[in-house]
Amino acid sequence: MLSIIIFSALAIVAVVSGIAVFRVDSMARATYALAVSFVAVGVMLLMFDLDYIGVITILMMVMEMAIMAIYMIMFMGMNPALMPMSMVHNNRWSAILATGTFLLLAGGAVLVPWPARSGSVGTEDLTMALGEALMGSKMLVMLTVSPILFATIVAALVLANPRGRYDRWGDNLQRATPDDPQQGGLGK
Amino acid sequence: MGLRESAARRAVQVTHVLVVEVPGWGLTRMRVESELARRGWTLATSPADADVLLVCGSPGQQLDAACSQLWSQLPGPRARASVVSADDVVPTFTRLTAELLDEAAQQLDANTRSREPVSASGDSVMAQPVAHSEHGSDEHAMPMDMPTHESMDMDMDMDMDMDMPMPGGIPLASGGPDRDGLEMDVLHVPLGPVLPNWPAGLVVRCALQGDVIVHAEVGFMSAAAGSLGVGLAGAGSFRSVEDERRRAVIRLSDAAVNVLALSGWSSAAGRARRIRDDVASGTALIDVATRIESLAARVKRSLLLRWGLKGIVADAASGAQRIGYGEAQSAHARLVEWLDEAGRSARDTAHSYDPPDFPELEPKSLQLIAGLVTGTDVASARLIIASLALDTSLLAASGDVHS
Amino acid sequence: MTGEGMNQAWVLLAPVLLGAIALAGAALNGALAARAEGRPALSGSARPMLEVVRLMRQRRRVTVAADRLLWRIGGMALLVIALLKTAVIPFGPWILADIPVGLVWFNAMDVMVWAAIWLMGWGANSAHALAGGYRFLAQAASYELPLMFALVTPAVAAQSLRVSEIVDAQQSLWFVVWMPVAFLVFCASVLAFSAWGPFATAASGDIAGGILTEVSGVDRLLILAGRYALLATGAAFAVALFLGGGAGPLLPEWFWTLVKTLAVLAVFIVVSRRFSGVRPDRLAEVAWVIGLPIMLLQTLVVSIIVAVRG
Repeated sequence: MLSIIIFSALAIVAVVSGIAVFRVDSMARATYALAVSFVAVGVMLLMFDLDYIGVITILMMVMEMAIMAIYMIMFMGMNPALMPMSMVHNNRWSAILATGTFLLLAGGAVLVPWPARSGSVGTEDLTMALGEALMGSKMLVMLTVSPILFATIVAALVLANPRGRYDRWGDNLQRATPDDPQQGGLGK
Repeated sequence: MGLRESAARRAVQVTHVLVVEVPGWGLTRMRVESELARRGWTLATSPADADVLLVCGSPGQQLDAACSQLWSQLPGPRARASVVSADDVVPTFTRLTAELLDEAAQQLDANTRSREPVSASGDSVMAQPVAHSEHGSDEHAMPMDMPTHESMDMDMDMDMDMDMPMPGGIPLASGGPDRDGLEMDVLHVPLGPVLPNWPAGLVVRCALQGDVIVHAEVGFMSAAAGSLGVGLAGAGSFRSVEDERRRAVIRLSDAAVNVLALSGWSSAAGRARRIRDDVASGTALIDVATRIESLAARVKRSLLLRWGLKGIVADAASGAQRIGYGEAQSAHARLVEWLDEAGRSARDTAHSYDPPDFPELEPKSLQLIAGLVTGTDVASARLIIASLALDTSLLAASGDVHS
Repeated sequence: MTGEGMNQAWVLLAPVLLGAIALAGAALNGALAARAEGRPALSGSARPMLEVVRLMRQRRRVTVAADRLLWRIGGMALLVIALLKTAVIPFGPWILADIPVGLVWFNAMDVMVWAAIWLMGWGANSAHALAGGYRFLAQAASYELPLMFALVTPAVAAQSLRVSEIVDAQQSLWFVVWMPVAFLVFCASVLAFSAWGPFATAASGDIAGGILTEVSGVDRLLILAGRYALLATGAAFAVALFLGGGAGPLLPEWFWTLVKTLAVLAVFIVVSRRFSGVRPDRLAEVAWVIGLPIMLLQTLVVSIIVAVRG
């Protein structure tokens, strides 16, 4: 009973703060309302005894919100302070897609005949069990995918950088220190 | 009530003092700092941190207006005083303590203060593009609304032809292209005239994008007309050789204090400050010489300091007009140079002394400062200005310089 | 008293103990500062309590159009985060929440510090405060990955994420002996997430106090106390992760934990006075190009040892 109450409370918090993202008056509040929503989901995962995944979710989401603050500066300049602002664009299609996705997922969650638990939970490591269930025989693929993802991100950044090696190091790559607007710590 | 009194007495033992140095009263300011250290009081970094506003010298009109604004920003309980001569320092401190402990007066002050921010745009001396307000602006930190782009490509659900929205009475900042080609909002922030480790009376009005100064204009707030300052190390036409040496050591170690403090090394800055105060209060130079040399050795050994100051170019490369004291280009080399020179002067026992050649600061050289700091971030700009070792008392006679 | 009863008593005792250790650290800092200024050390060690009294007496202030909700949340968060961190640190036989992923919990909490300090910088509606907040984020992005690997290394050696098991795995040899790089990186990260010493640029005088520019009164007290509390809890965690927890001859475990924590905290405070400030933009390159590879090497070495040992 208690767990149902807590779960419902967390669900309400997650949804309400998700709505708050679009209703509040400043980008900072929107960002941290989103963080609250994610943290609520993380706590819900903790309730499933998925300790590692729950705590990692909280960690990652808060870190992402903090880093989003950096992106807010980079791409939006500064952002409005407590001013009525609109967080939505392309209203109609977003609403249609969002409602559709919600109906699909909610319908699935409610209508799919989930199998009953066979056997007891035991002392098995839930995280490992979840990992096996999700990725199972594809574990090797998963292992290689993650460095490939990382390499892709790095490559994209390098390609996007308007200043390349020759801008920084001169035409013959001969300069002693790179010509950067802000000098790095190592002179590289 | 006994408890309140004893609490007040204890609180006063660690008072934080915001020191405003009027150009020309450097010696008084140093005396104040040494008295603060003796009592265990601290220098405040911002008005929010301060219990006491202490003005060293007779400020001119602009500086006086700045002091009034700072005064209005001190949270209570607060006290205010002005010190002109170095002998007044100790009685002033005693008076300040009494004022802070005076419960009734503090209550009165608290009750009669305005709680709402006061828009001072009418009588603003600074002619800033934004409205001032009691809590919201000062020479430390211009509070800027975190603004929106006027031309966001999001649908704004308000009409674009209405007046610029002004939350709190402050207009939003507008954007501009930054050095990476992205668009970032421009904040107008004046650095100075009251900042920790900052030349007295100097005001650098910056246009900041993020942390980077994209445009700077340098101004100067001078002392009251007709008042005589005491100079960085004592005025007076006749100075004995000993006095000259002391003056040089004081000035060099004061410059070292600023650079070390801005590099984040407060313990080394404290050592330099103690050296300066001891020399100013009459300790024999020979006794101080060892300490200077050990500090110099420490500074030279510190790799972290060298790394932190790397790339801070302290003066114009085209040596036509030097505005700061020092032969070297980089801030670290200058710092080492000052400390070595101070050590040499302290050990020097010859009968004649050739004082270091501190360049005269003229109003037109202020604009060179603007050129030096444009394009750097605030931290580097602060270090650049500190490594110039400016003596603004030399400018004091020329009156306010508007940028 | 049963174990359950002790744990309940510990719930009340832990914050008090954290406060006492943080106060001890502040007192040491005050004493060192007083000695450096030529005053007796004892008067300096009284400084933290005097500052508490002074800040409680001071009025609070607010800036125009400040985002007060976020600002005050950021200010209170540091202390709360430090308390949450102590929940997973064993003190002798007592531990508030010996969750199976205690190590990750600690890491999650110090990521919350990012949010807290940024909120403080943002909420104040002041250019200097915002600069302070962003300096911290730049610094945080640099130290975070080395810190994560420094946290992973003892977990690999103990083959568990539970803090009490990591402490137990050090019965034969303390981890600091064969993973010194991880220990150093962890200690540096503790200084960094407490915005202390060489990593205090977020609150330094060159931006008029940074995140502390516009706060006064009890809000300021919460932030300053929060920094000391983070230092204290970081020191305690370093003891649990690398210095064997409560291991020591003769005397009970809680005593040794306390002694070691105080020693590590003292080292933090004494050593940080010897260094100048590290600028975040400079730190980034060093942390990613030098710091992270060295840390990865350390993790690799430890993993190989663990794998070979079987």
